[in-house]
Amino acid sequence: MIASANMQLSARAGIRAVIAIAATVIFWEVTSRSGEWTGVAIPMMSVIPPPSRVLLAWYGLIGDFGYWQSWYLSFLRVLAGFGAAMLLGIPFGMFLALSRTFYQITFPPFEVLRPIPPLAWVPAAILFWPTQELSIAFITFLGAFYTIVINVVGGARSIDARYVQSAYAMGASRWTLFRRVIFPATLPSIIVGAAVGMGITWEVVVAAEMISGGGSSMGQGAGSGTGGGLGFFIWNSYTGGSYEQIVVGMISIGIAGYLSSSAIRVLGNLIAPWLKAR
Amino acid sequence: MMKKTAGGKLEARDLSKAYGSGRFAKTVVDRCSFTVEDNKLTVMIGPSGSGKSTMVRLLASFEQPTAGSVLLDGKSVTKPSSDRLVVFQETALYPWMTTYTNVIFGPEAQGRSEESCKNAADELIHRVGLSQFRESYPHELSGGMQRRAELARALINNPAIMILDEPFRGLDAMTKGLMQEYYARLFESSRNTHLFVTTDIDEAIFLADRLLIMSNFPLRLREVIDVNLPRPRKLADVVESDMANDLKKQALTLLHEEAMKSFAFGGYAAGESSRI
Repeated sequence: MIASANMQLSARAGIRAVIAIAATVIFWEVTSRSGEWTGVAIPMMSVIPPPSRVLLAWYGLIGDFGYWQSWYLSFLRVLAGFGAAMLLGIPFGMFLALSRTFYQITFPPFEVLRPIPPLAWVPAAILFWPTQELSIAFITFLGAFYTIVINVVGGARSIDARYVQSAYAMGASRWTLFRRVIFPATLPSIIVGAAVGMGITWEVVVAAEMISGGGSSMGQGAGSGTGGGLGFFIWNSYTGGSYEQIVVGMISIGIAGYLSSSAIRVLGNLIAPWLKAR
Repeated sequence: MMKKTAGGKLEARDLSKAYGSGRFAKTVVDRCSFTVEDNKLTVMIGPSGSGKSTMVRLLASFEQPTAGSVLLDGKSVTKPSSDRLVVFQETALYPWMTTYTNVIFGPEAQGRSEESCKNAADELIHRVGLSQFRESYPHELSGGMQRRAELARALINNPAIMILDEPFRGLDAMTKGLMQEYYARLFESSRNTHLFVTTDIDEAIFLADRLLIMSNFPLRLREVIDVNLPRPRKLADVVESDMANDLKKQALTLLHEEAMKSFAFGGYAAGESSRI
């Protein structure tokens, strides 16, 4: 009974999602083409290529090496930056939360650096990293790093005192306490930090690719940008005057971001199964 | 089967606890002395907000007293240890562990292998009636089941003293009654030393061998009442017992006085209480 009710609910949600997306596409098509149909161009919307032409352009890109190369390169940079941010951010945040001395020494400079937007680092990063690839990865790293650290610190500091007290009372050593109580208690915050950080990473990687010119250009796709990542793909389409491809690039980033955050949700549920049913 | 250890005797000697300092110091526990007799169920009762939970944290050495000391079998204790385990208000089970993993956490934390304590854990989980929920996470258990899981998690460590801080608070009346009977049976079968903290007079009389009636904020011992009702006890019997009702009346009079004190701090209520 409950299962079928749930299925009905999710079926209804699915129908609503399809209708909403269809309505948006139709609205977009009509407003963007109203100039050629009725002679009355709607401001702003008429500049945007209609979805039918975007789809056509997309279809043309399916066999294009450069387009998929852009996907691949952006994903690679996101994964490198995000992975490094997780690898360094989680232990760093834990140390900040658990050691008062470390906190007092490290947190002030951290807090001064944190408000600097990752994009403000672009020129400096290009100067002090030997390759452009490394400078883009560094900037994406910064985007995720601060968010992850702040979440880890917040999570590890808000642990229920009774968890710690009863662990000590039951004879846990400091290491056991960390491994079996503090770390799992912080996991939900780590997962939230990862999800938010992943979003920021995509924002940053695209901007960094646009500014730095996409780094190593490999492969020359027909009519598309050089394989410099999705951000560069958009920028290249803009300078090349292919407005359909700009939109293709934007939607591609939307899909890539959605896939990444879904992956984090799935991983989160695997790592922390006790959170799923809440 | 668990080895049966003799329960210990816990003593609070002139315990004081103040928070803050100087003019802002607030004394929560004031030169409080009492004994938790070994192999008995001692119930501490006092109005809510009277500092009982602070006393629990002092007894378990989660916090250090401002003055005085806690003695276990005559020896002063200052660090948390598995000889004094606390079952908290609400649940403090680890949400990321299943019932089974929660229960064997203590023995494993003390360096025992899973093999050596697996049977004891399963036996206890069975005793608290959670065999079917061995692999469930705490949020999948009802309130009553969570408390029972927590009892099992504490009991597996064979603590010399079990301290239960309003463990049945927040349960509905039905479940609460069942849990009280259940807990009474558990105690009667092991006869270790228990300190049970509550604000509920019926619960107190039903469970207690000795009743410690506490004074309101700052916390002090007001009076000790021995409850010599026969064991094993049943809720229905205790409700009908004249002796239990006399004890209840006696305890309620004292508690009422103490509860009035907290009203007396407010001007309006103070006027009310002087007229009564």
